[in-house]
Amino acid sequence: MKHMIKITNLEKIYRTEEVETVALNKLNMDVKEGEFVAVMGPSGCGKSTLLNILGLLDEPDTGSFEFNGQEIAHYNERKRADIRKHNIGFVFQSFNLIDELTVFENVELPLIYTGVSTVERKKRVEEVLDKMQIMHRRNHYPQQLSGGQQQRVAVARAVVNKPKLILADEPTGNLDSSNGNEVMELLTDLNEHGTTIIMVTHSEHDARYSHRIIRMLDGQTVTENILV
Amino acid sequence: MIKNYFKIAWRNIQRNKMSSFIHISGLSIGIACALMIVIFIQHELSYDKFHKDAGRIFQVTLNGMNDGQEYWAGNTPPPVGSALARNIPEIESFARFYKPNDIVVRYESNSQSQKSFTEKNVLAVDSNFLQLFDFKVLEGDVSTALLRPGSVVLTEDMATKYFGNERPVLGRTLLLNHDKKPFTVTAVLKNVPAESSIQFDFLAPVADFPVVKRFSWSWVWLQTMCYVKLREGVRTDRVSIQQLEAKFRPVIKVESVSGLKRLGTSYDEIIKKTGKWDFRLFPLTGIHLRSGIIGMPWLSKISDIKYVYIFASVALFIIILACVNFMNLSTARSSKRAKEVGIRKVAGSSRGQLIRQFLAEAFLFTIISSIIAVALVILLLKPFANITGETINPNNAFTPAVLFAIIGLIIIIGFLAGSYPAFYLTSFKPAAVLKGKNLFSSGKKSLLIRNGLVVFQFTISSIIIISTLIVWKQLKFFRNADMGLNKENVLVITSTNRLGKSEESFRETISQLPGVSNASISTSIPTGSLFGDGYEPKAENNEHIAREIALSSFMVDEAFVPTLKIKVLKGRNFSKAFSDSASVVLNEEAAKQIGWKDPVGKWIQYPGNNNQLFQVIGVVKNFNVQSLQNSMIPFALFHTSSRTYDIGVSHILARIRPGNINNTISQLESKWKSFAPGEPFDYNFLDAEFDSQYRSEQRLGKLFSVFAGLSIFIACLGLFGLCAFVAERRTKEIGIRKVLGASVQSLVSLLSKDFLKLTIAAALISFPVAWWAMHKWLEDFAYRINIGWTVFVIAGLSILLIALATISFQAIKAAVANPVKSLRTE
Repeated sequence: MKHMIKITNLEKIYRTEEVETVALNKLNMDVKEGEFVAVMGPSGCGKSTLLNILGLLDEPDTGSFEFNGQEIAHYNERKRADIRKHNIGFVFQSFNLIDELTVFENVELPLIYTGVSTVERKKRVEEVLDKMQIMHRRNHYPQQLSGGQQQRVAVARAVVNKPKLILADEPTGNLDSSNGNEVMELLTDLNEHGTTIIMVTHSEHDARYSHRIIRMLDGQTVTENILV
Repeated sequence: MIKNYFKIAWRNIQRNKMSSFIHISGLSIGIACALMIVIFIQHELSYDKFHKDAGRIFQVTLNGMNDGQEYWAGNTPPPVGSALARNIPEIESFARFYKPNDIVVRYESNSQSQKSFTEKNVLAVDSNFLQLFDFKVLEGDVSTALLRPGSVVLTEDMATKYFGNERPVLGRTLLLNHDKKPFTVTAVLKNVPAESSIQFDFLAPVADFPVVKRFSWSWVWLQTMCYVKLREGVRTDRVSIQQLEAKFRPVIKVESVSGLKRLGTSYDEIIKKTGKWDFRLFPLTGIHLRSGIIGMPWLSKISDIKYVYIFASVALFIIILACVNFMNLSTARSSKRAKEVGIRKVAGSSRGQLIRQFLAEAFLFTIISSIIAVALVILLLKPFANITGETINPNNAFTPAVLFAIIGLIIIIGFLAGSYPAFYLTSFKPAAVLKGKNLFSSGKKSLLIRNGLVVFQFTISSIIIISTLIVWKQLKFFRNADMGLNKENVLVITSTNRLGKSEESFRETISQLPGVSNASISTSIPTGSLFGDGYEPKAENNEHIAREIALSSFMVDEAFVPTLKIKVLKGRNFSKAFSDSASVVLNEEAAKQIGWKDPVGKWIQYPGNNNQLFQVIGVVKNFNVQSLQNSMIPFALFHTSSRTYDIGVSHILARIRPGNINNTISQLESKWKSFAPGEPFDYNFLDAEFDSQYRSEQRLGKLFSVFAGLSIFIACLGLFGLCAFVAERRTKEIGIRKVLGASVQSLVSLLSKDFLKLTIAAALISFPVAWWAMHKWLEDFAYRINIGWTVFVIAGLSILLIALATISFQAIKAAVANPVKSLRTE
């Protein structure tokens, strides 16, 4: 299968006046198209930094990052944003829905930013809301929903643009187990339909939904477990 | 505990340098501005109050009718003072002054050295003038200084100007006027305070001015100002004064008999003919601000209480703007401080203690700002006073009243500015705050308040900006309006009557100069004093015309009309080819008011001078001899040779060819020197004379410009803070949108849109208010601009642009921030 992500000797160092923190230390990692990868490790091991770089929200200091065969480690903000909005969807632990917008409007946002027409947007948002079984709450605001429902909205928003890659940062961290399982089923389902998923998690239970677990420590991958 | 409050407040100020700077600069400017205005208003209200008996001194005014039009005059006939004082027991004393034309004063210390200047501020006064008023004396005895003819009293500045360091000054001799009449210095006064409506440099007894004596019987010669002092204990409230005035009529009726008989009329006839001829009393302390409709010639610095109100409200608004800023900026920082509040509450602090904590902070800001403001006032009072056109002594500025105002401002602003953040921030529930719940998203009410405050600020700024634009537009109109005469490049050589018989040959000489295209001798100049009197047009063939008309006039020569480029519409101008001593040229307005369609060849009669007859030889286009605040008056030009009246002064108006004006002026001066050695060469430009008529409007324009700048600056500081607040509140949203692919551009417009809506709302609210206010202001002018829509467009757009610039700074900052930071879960 084709490589979607190929990371070589990636380094990211955070500096304050007194302290230098190595977040990623010559990290290497490959992800193939259609894979479902879980990234695990203790707090501070660099998982979030990795996810941010993978999501093109942050840039590495040194090293190479190929995305779909393109070297993008040092693309500028605009180019990265362009790749991001067409290829990558995000699911966060704290959902990160916009409180002032309704469910429908939240899900619609990525389509607006990729310039999809109004009619097409309506069709696609309704399609995805239907699939996530939250169509009936389309006009509610995030605060009016349960945690599980909010995360379903967040997943809906992440997939509405049909991204090739979904990055999930502890997607079940704020959910109870039944809601958590529901979200994991959703992600598995998406993966089965071809979406590549990289998920950061603390939960061994969640990690078992993936094909492969990458364990990190001190900014490096230490082991890889192939589950499938 | 209080010490602790201030300690923590001080640390907060230090920690948040940027927002503290914004707080303090906004408040300092606001307070400084308000203080200056308080000082200015105090100065305005203090006019004439330095006289010990100011409350008992009144000016006699004349309230009469002319052609059905009521008029009020501060200038009254010479006999009125003594008539009233003799018959009305409530009046203790009276004193008059007469303002002669400019006088040349000379001092010859020895045969070689002599100093001479043209003095504009000489008053001829009654001998008790210095007893009725309280002008401070440095040397001499006020009770005797003006008793003897040939005495002169001068101010310390004048003493230095003429005598330098020579002492003593008393007993020295000054030579006055063309005839070099000697006057002995009998007293030196402290300079007349700026807060005096009566301004002078020299005082001399009226006895030395024969014209006053000559008209001392006349009840129609309105050339003196008369003040009376009421006896102690006489009630001076409005009603009592009205009762007192009611006693004047029978007195005037009896006292004026002989004087009016000489004019062939009587008190009853005047009443019958005009309807009203009353003498009234106007309080001295009200003259500066409240004498509006009363003509007050020869008094300097008549202002209007309206300006006090305008400036007071501007001061109030600027203070409120600064307070609003403080509130908005404090809430802007509140998301940072909410946690502190939560922790304090958990640690056992009561809400009351927290409120006091925040109030202490507000007070600390206010006190620091006040100190800076006082420093600013001390630094800027002089330039500010220059703009207001007033002389404000910085040493006298900080009176107890002003100090009281400072303390009052600190207390009011401290509470006003501190209360909202104090009550708002301390209302947070600690559990919610500590859990990091978003406190600001749901607050519809506080959002409404904040938006309301922003709209309020920009409405005020917009009103001030629009008003400023309109004031300048009106001033520009004053300068450029078609006045019926050409005032550019006209040089006025004043008091050329000093040349005596050679005046005409001087005029001829200078009109030959290459730089001079025309020169004319006139008894007065446009903007100068007007001779006005009643004339009787002669009806022919039973035509229906006015029986009487009040005409203002100059006596001029043939060159006057061409020199000022006045257009002759009918008939002809004066000409050397005719004998024009019995000719008159009218303006259109005079012809219209008389009712003549074709006035040329008709006659008017002048009862004021032996029923002298004048034939109308021409009609000229209306031209403004007064500033454009006044409407067109019926006006006449008589020929110099008519000698129909004698006002003892004349001037030469010379039209200068443009280019190399300085050269022409020096040629004029050298010609003058050869004609009148030792006489000062005094000149001015006609357009400058007109400009000086608009001083109070210029002052308003300048002050409004300053206030407009400050108010928009303060409002922008507030907007800046509020944007920071909103950007902070929406950090997460911005982060999310960015992750989802929003461009910086779309984020900036997202953040700016709401504020721009508020600014537009403010502009729309301000338009009708500003229109109404300025419409009222313009009503005072006979000639005024149409307000038009352009000023609103300009003001609206500039406010929008300024707001946009302010907002975009924060918006761009928020939009380019790395979303990773805002989305990181702790």
